[in-house]
Amino acid sequence: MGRPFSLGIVGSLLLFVLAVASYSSELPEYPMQPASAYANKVVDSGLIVAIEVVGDTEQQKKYFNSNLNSRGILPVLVVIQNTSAENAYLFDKSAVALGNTIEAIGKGALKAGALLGSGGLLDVTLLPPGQMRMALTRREIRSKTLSPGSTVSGFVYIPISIDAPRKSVHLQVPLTNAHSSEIEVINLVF
Amino acid sequence: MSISRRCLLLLMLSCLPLAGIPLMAQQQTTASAPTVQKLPLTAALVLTPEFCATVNNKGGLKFPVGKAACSQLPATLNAVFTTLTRVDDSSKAGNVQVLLEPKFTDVSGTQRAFTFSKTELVVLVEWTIRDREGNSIWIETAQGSGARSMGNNITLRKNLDRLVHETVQQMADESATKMSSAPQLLNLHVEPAKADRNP
Repeated sequence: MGRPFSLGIVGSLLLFVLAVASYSSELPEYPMQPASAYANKVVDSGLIVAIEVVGDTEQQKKYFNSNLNSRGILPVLVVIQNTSAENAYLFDKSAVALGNTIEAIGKGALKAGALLGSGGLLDVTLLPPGQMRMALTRREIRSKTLSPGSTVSGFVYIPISIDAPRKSVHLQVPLTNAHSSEIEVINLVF
Repeated sequence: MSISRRCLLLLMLSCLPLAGIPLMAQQQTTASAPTVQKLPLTAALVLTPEFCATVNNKGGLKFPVGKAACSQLPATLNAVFTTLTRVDDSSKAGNVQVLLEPKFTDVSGTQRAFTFSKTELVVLVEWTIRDREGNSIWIETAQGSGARSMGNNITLRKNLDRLVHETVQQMADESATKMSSAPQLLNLHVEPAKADRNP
């Protein structure tokens, strides 16, 4: 009589602890800086486009709750700042693309390879539902109109090889002048 | 007091905060509607059948966000524009000054692990606003997110509908706020709408 009752109590407490853990699963915000403060950046036509590669496994676990390297996913922070005094730019995240083909090697990379969008980047919407997808979705860069002085930032996810050294990545970021409809393509290599 | 009764009391006390968490989450997602500035523009809201039929395509629980959005967006955005016409295709917009085109870019939900655990829902809608010539003049992303306990199988449908409604309303409110404060729309100097030539 006493033992099953105790097991029931322990089981209930365990469920409670798991429930509390699920409530407190908020991840910390990734620290952002002004675009001009990043080492890898391009300045062109009143725009600053900067990137920061988050390749460290511990950083990935801290901010994405997952070792993304082992899954063949490289998160790259993109910060775009419009320093123009009068021009507004339209940033369409679906237009961001890789300028080079990245060969996927290894189990994780093959998985990531099946989740690619049209521009060669990882399409987060193709991931199965769960906390990892939530974390990636919340941090992903979003389409936005950049009025003079404004900034947009967030991550893009690049498929990488996990069985070989990472090759150079060429990222293309198109921005459309809202007034003239001219398109500026910013190229970043890292 | 016996040991077993003490354990039971301890369990009840430890569960008290748990009872309050879903209530707090619900209170956070039922914030009052934002005050928006009315724009002196005539607009057509393009809600295609595909958009209205959007349901998350993966996972056990199905969130009918498209149906909710097509019900809630017209009412919310009506406060932003002088006149707002709902159409199911941009070619039917008539002679309005701007076309509002929403697109779901992600509908992401977590699956409940236990009866009492929360289910989370995140909805991302990307807006493109075009002028009469069809040029994109404004792009923005609006997010709605919510969390709610689904309860047992009897309360599941009701709670799921509430979660979808609250999450979509948050997205609609954010859309309205962003549109009404967009400089590109506030400064849109276009000629007043003429009478529709194809009534």
